[in-house]
Amino acid sequence: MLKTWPAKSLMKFFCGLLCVVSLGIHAEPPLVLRVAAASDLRDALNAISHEFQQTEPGIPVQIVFGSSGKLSQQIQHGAPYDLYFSADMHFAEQLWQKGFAQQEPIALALGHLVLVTRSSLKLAVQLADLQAPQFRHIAIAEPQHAPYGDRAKQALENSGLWNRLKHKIVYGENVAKTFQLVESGAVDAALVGIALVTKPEQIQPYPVINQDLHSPLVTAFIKVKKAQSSAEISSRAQQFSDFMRSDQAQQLLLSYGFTAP
Amino acid sequence: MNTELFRLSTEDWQAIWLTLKLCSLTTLILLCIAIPLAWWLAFGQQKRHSFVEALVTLPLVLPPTVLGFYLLLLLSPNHGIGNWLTAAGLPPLLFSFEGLVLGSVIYSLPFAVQPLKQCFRSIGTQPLETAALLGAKKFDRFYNVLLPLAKPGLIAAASLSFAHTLGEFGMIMMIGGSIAGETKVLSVLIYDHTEAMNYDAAHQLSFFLLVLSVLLLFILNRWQQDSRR
Repeated sequence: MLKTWPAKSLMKFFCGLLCVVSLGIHAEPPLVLRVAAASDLRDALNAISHEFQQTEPGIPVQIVFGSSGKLSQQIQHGAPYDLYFSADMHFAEQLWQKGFAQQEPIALALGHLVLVTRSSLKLAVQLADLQAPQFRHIAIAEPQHAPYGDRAKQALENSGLWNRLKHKIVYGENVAKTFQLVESGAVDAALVGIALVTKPEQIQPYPVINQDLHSPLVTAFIKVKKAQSSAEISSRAQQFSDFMRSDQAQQLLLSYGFTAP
Repeated sequence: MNTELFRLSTEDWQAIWLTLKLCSLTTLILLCIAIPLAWWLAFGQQKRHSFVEALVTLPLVLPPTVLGFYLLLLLSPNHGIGNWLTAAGLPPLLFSFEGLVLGSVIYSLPFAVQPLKQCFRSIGTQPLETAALLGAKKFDRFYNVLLPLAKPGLIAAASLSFAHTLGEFGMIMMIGGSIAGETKVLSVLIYDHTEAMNYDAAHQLSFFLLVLSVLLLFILNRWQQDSRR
């Protein structure tokens, strides 16, 4: 068997092929500013980034959304993000303490929880309404890595409803996914971030959960410390971070339901 | 490309291109690895063959999350291979296209090896031995005897690897990070579109993927039947 096997020529053939292939895939990294952001910021940050690129043209901004905990985990594993926006100060603080941030986290705004009801049902006005039998499934974000899920659980616990509602709870991977569950009618109600249901110049129809029921949701951001980063990209990151603190960006955040920290 | 025609955005086209690039590259690399490996497994009967066989078949049994988790640890700059790469001044594999290629190669390995192994077994060693007796050189035997005989197996291996990589999701979510133009392949983009409630875009892309998959499998099936005749 071995005699018939043309091992050496085969090896040469395939090594050659692999070389060609690996040369082919190794391309220059594109010049973009990569931003990782909590998924409740989807509309607000897209709007701000749009404004930013209009007023200060330059390297394009690319935003990846996900739960704050998941994105923080990715950054700790070396994901190539330049800026990180967390829905919770805790995750940003943690990255700073572990040495993944260039400076201390900057608090941007205060997020709020809202109680969203499936469109064909009568609006739930307060958390206690969720005990009614027409609410068969209630969605919250995964409390382990999504801040809004954690606070939703806290709010339910602090209002003494958690044990009674526990069997109705389903979990979305992040807060945007959770909102999608109720929007599509898959669940009857959900506790999500206010920015997901608020549009500028529109009054959002859902009740806001009392702040005293959960610890605050401080949206914060950091500039990520990267192993390899060009000077152009880090100056663009500085530009974006300055823009975030401008009145224009703050106004936009307020128009999506955030309040001042 | 006429973007008006399917009303797909540039982001969509970027993901389509990236997905096709990932699938083709993975298939090509897999064939290079799988041909020698499948030959070795097809005629080996020792303990080490069974052990390697078990390793190769693992991705078929394990959830993609397990594979993703170990790759995440292995390639992370804090441990193992990722650490050496950073020390050698090379770009990290995690959250990069190259990393996805590596992951996909491991993930689709059984789909390339199994059909080839069966095919080599059914061919047996005789045709190659005959060719050797008739004075054919090594490369000649491989290129003009083995490859033509193994054509149905090669087609099956290539099509299954391609198709399986096309449908990859869980592992890419864990080691990819959904970066446009780098790791945001079609399956991830569709997930993203549903999350942003762009149902129209999600519909279009899902339908595109559905048609593409059916077409691909149909053509390859026809081709395979032709080559068997």
